[in-house]
This record gives sequence, structure tokens and C-alpha cells, in this order.
Amino acid sequence: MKPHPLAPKSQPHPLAPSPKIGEGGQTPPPCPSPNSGRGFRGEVRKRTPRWASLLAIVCVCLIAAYPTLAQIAVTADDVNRVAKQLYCPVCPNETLDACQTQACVQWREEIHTQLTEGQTAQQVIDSFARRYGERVLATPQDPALRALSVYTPFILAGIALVIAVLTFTRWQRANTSEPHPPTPSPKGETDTRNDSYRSILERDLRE
Amino acid sequence: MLAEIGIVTLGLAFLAAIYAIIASVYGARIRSERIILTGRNASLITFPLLLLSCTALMAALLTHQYQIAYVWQVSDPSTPTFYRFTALWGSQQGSLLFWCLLMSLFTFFATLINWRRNRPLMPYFIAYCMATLAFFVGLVLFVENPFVRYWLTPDLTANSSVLAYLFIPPNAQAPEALGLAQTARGLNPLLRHFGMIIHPPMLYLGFVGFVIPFAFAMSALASGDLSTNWIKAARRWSLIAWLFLSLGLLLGGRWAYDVLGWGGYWGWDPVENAAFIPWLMGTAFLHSVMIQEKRGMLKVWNMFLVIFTFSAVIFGTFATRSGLVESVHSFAQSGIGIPMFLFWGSITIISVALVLWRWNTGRLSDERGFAGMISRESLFVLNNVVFVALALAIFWGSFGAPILSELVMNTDITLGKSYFNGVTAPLFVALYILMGIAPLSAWGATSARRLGKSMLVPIALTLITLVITFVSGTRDGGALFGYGVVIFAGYVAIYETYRGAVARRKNTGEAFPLAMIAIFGKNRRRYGGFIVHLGITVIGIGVIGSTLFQVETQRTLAAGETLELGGYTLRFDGLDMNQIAEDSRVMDIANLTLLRNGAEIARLRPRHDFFPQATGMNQMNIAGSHSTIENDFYVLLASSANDGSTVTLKVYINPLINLVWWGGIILILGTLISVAPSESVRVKERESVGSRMGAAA
Repeated sequence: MKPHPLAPKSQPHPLAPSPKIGEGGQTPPPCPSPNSGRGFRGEVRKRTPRWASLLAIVCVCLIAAYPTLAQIAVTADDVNRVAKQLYCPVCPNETLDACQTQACVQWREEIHTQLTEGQTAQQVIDSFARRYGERVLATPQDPALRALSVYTPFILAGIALVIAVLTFTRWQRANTSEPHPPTPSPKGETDTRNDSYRSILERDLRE
Repeated sequence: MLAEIGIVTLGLAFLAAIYAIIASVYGARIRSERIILTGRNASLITFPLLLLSCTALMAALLTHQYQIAYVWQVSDPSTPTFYRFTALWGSQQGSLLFWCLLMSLFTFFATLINWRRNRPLMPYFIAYCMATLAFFVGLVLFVENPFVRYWLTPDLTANSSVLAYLFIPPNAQAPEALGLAQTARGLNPLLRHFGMIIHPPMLYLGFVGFVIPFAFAMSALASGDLSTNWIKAARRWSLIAWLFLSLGLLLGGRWAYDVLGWGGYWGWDPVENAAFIPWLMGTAFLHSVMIQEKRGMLKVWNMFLVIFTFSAVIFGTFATRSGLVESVHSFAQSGIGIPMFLFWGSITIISVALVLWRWNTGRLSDERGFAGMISRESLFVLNNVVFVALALAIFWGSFGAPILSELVMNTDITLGKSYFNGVTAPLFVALYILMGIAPLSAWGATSARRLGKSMLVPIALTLITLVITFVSGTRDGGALFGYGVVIFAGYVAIYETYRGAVARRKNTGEAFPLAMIAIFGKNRRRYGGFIVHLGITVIGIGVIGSTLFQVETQRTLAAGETLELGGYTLRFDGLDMNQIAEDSRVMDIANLTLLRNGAEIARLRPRHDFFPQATGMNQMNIAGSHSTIENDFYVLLASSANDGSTVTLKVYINPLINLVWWGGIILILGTLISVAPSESVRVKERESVGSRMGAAA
């Protein structure tokens, strides 16, 4: 259906249809238009309550006191390392680390939160796969799907190789059982046993 | 008026193509030269007609004819003239029309050039070309017409009074021009890049170019002339199509690197893969065709390769334009899916059936036997196996597995970089090894000893290079292995060219540079091919370096703060906010200084572009980069604070990435040399024309 040319401009979702429901049945939030409220600079400033500031100070002290806990400090690079292994559940074929939409910014924040809570990269990936389905992974986790996806090309390559070897064998058998008459090459080809590189080259060039 | 010109010429082109099919086939059947000639003329007229149609649309774009729906969709009053040209292929309808124009252009020249030389093949050649063209022109005419206009009908309410029709509805009138201009959508921001003026036409030329070898193969099968005539006619056209497809892929990679903002050039996106698969099949054909030319073997295989290359082209077009797969590149879902699928399926089945029919009659049997396992033909067959396996693996990952899992298991899956890198890497290694060994082998048969002996120098040079690479700091075993395999293939190409010149010098006593020029003149195909191999080697080095050694970081900086990465220091100096460009995009530009060892080496200005007028994808991250042969220091402005006090930067160091582009240029250069007719061929042609004239006299 053609868009109404005189209608006011709407700002629909930039890339994709409505998101599909993942295995866990949860619908991912729609990828909002990047320009909605200039999502690029989408940091919403809120006044922090005083009690929250105190709590944060206590948390920082606790982290400083326990070196093992302090290791959970998560950088943007840590987040990107995980996000690189996940595909945006809504945008087509874009990894989460590269996707510029506001929804993906939120998903990266979620990865940050989960890593900060102490989850491993694999646990974060698993949680995304549970919620949004296999499509968020670069390779499916389901054993049947994984086998179907990853091994099929090698099986196909193997079949192609077997066909090639059978072809060679058939050719060689045909060649030995029915020795070809010494048909000269259409363009005066010489015997391949000729040991001079120059003559081989000249023959190649002549052909 | 422009719309009327476009519609009428399009309709005439469709009728001419249909007439050309009927007249060519019927004329060939009843052996009527007059009817065949009318068919030829009808096919030739499609090019000027489609040129007129495209010119009408282009004129409409340039003169702001927003009543034409396509113009309204892909431009607005702020669109610069440059992008008004590129808007011709900026959306489904216009790009399909442009595709038809290029196909008719190829057919026009192929018909004129080959009319005398391959006379028996030409009626069927024209029929196949015109069948393909008629299908695409039909799509443009009946399904995705770019000349549909908006009309106001007085009997409808104000809210729904605008209708899109090809012809004027009763009592309708044109909407007010100003209103249409104010609401026009403008070009997709991703397409507002210099590369977009070249990338799509190159890719389309590559795609439609493969119609010509396909039509020659089918004409050979239909006419029964199964000599090497069709191969000779098709080979050069395949090389031309391959050249354009290579250019299209390279430019597409460069565009992705500059515009898509993820620090890379190849994302294994389904649409990229849809263009890469015909390239792989076409490359296999260009190698395999030599075996048929020189040894009279693999006739059936070559037919299949041509068919599946063309089939891959049509499937790629179908996948990209039908909404079959989701991709950052793909056109919106449209009504052309089912007709394109039917066309793809039917043309593939008919072509395969024709090959099998001729095969059964024994007309495609090999002229020679197989002389030995160590021969150039056996290595070329292996090379073909690898190319086809690569094409199948990529097809499977992009389309096969996702579609099958959805149909059979009702599960939507994505196969990403890890799949493609894992599956294709061993195949690419095999390909480079074969690329190294095959040129050293001989046609017919060669001994293992001779082959080993000729490999000594390239292997020695490869080992020396690897030692230097190791000493200079590369310790990764996988990378060293990859470099070794790739460099070996490159050294073989250089060594064989050198040996050719030395042999020539010994024979003729010419100086070495003259001998070098002479061998290129004598056999451009062979030595152009070596340059192509060298280009592929350089690309391989770039791909390994930029894939295995890419480093990246993301950091938020305030003005004056710095970050360190890979021996570089990057300082944030300030942000220029809300800069308005000519096409009304709003830009935020970060001012950065790049330092090495404390000295300033570059000023970078990565920017974030926002398109307030655009619908859909309305922002882009344009990288700032400092390029050297060693690496690219590539910076993206990921985000910034509302007051511009801080910016979040994504920084990549992409080692050796520029070798990908340099290798591409070498590859194109080599292909151009190969495409040019060699001296000996020209002499032969002159002699043959001379003898024909003598006979005629």
C-alpha cells in the first residue's frame, strides 16, 4: 500500500516488522525510532535520592573491602564482547554491539547489569536466547539445529569431493582401459614429458 | 508528460522483447533469415526504448516531479542534484528499471559483436536474453511501476482523496505541487554516500552480465552447436561480468566500512552473500572453461556452472527484493516475490533439463581422457570443488538453514560470523593452496618431482617472509599459517611471470623489461590472471590482518581527556553540535587529535548524522580514520552528552585493512588486462577476416 503523500510524516520503526515472540514467550520491546527524542543522546537525567547516594557509597566501600567483588567492575569493552555474540532481536542481521537503535542501547545496558551482577558471558547469552529465541545467537544452541547448521556444509563439501575423486577415477580408468590414440592437440601440443620449461610455456602460450 | 513517455517506452520495450523471442525462435525453426532479422532488430530496439524510459524518470527526479510516486518516495526539495541521480536506483521500482536498462545494454552489444561470428547461435541467444529481459520489464510494467502518479479525486473525502494510479482516473486532477513537495520523503540516508553512485550500477552490471554467458550456453544446447564456439563467445563476457561484480563487491565493502559504522567491511549479511555466491560460481566457471578450451573436457560441468551462476544471480535478486531475508540492504517486501521465485525455478529447471537431454544424446561427452592425477586439469577440478563448496556453504548459512529451520522446526535462527568464519576458513585455505600449486602444473600430466622442483623457489621465498614476519612480532600460529598459504600463492604468481619473461629473454635476446611487456602482450589472459592472483593474495593478507588482529575499545571522554590504544593516543578536543548540512542533515562532529609518541599525526572528525526529514533509518555514524599501509585508526562517535561535554567513542585499529582495497585495485587491473584481446588473438582474427574476404572476392 502506498503511503499517503499528504499525510503528516510519521516516524515508524526504522528497519523491521513487529518483533517475534521468543521461546520464553516474551516479546522484545520494539526497536524505537532512533530519532524519538534524539535517542543518540538518550541519557535521561534524574535527580538521585539522597538515600540512594548513601547506599552507593556503602556499596563502593564493600567492593573496595572485598577484592573478589571488586573484579566485577564491568567496562564498555566487556559489554561489547558479549554483545558482539548476540544479534539484535528486532533489527536484521545486526550484532548488538553495532546496532545504533535505542532498543539496542537498552539491551547493552541490560548486558552491563547482568555482568555486574556476576553472571558470566555465557549466562548472559543464554538468558537472551531463552527470552528471544535462537535467532539472537550467531550459531543455534539447540543440538539438532546446531548439527543441521554447522555440519551440513561440511557434508556437502565432502560429497562434492567424493564426486570429484570418483570423476578422476572414472577418467583414469577410461584412460587406461581405452588408451587414447596419440591425437595431436588441436593446436599442435607437444608431449607433456618435455622437460624444458620454455617449451611447456611456449605450448601454454600457443594454446 | 515524463510519466507518459516512461510508460509508453516501457510498454514498447516489453512488446519488442516478446516479439524478439517469437521471431527468433520461429525464424530459426523455419530457417527464415528475414524473420530472424526482424527478431534481432526488435531485440536491439529495447535498449534505446529503455534508455528513454530511464531518462524520463531521471528527468522527473531532477525536475522535482513529486506527483510521480517514485520521485516523492526517494527525493525531497533539499536533496542535492548528485543524490537525485543516485535516487534512480534508490528504491525498488527505479532500481528494477535501471536493471532492465543495463540488461538491454549488455544484450545490445553482445548481439552486435557476435552477430556475424556466432551466427547459428544468435537466434536462440536473442530469445534467451529477451525472455529474461521481458520478465524483468514485465515486473516493472505490471508490478513495480516507477511511473505511478498521485491523483486527487473529487468524490472522496479529504483524508483519503489521494490515490496512486498509473493512468488518470475519471474526473481526477493532480494534487497541489507544493503540498507534495512539503511531504516528500527524501532518499534513504544510508544511500547518501559517494560510493552509492558507483556501487549499485557495478553490482547490477555484474549481475546482468552473467545473462550473456548463460544465453550463449542455452543457445548452444538449443541449436545443437556444441563446439567450443559458445565457450569462446561466453568466456570474455563472463570475465566482463566478473569484473563488474568484483568491483561491486569491493565498493560495497568500502561503503559498509564508511557508512554502516561497525568497523568492518564484510558482515556476512545475506544480501552481501547473495552477490558473493554468483562471484564464486563465476570464478569456478572462468577456471573450468579453460579445461574445455584446451582439453575438450568438462563440457557438462561447464554448462551446469553457467546455469547455476545465472540461477544464483536470479536467486540473489529474488532474495534481496522479495523480503525473503531480513538485511540492512534489502528492499522492502513487495509483490515481486512470487513471480521472481517462479521465474527462478522455471528457468533453472528448463536449463538443467536441456543439459540432461543433450547429455543423454551423447553430444556433451569429453574429447580426451584424463592423463594423470597431477595435472592442471585435475587441480582445476579440485579448485572447482572448493569454489562450489564455498558457494553451497554460504548459501546454506544465508538462506538454506534459516529457511529450513523456520519451515520444518518453526524456529527462527541466524547464522552469524562465527558460522561463516568457521566453515569458510578451511575452504579458503584449500583455495589458496590450489591457487599456488595449479599454475606450476602442466596440462596433461606432470610428475610430482617436477612439480616439487618448481615449487622450491616460491616456498623458499614464503619461508623467508614468514621468518621476517615472526621476527617483527607476529607470533600467532594461525595467522602465520594463513599468511604462509596466502603469500605462497602470491609468490607463485610473481615467480611464474618472472620465469615467463626470462624464458622470453632467452629465446629472443630482448631486455628483461621488454620481455616482460612482450609476454603480457602475447598472452594477456595468462599474465592478467597472475595479476588477479596477486590481487587476491594482497586481499587475503589484508583480511587475515584485519580479522585476527583488530583491536577495539569504547571509552567516554570529557574535553581534554585522552585514551590509549595500540601505541596511539587519542585526545578529545570538543564537540561541534547541530551543524546543518546542505541536504538538511544535522551533524554532531567530534574534534579529535591523534598522537603517536607524543607527536600529533592527524586530526579526526568522526560524526553522527541525523536526518530529521527521513523516515525509517534516519541516522548514520560516519567514522573518522587515519589510514596508513600499516593500519587504519578508525573512530566512531557512539554517543554524546546533551550539553556536548562528553563523548563516547568506539575506537578500532584495523591492521593491514588498506591491503583489502589495494588488492582490489590490483585484481581489477589484472582483470582488465585479461579482458583485453591478446596480440595473437587479434592477429588470428585479422587473418580470419582477411581469409573470409579473400574467399568472398
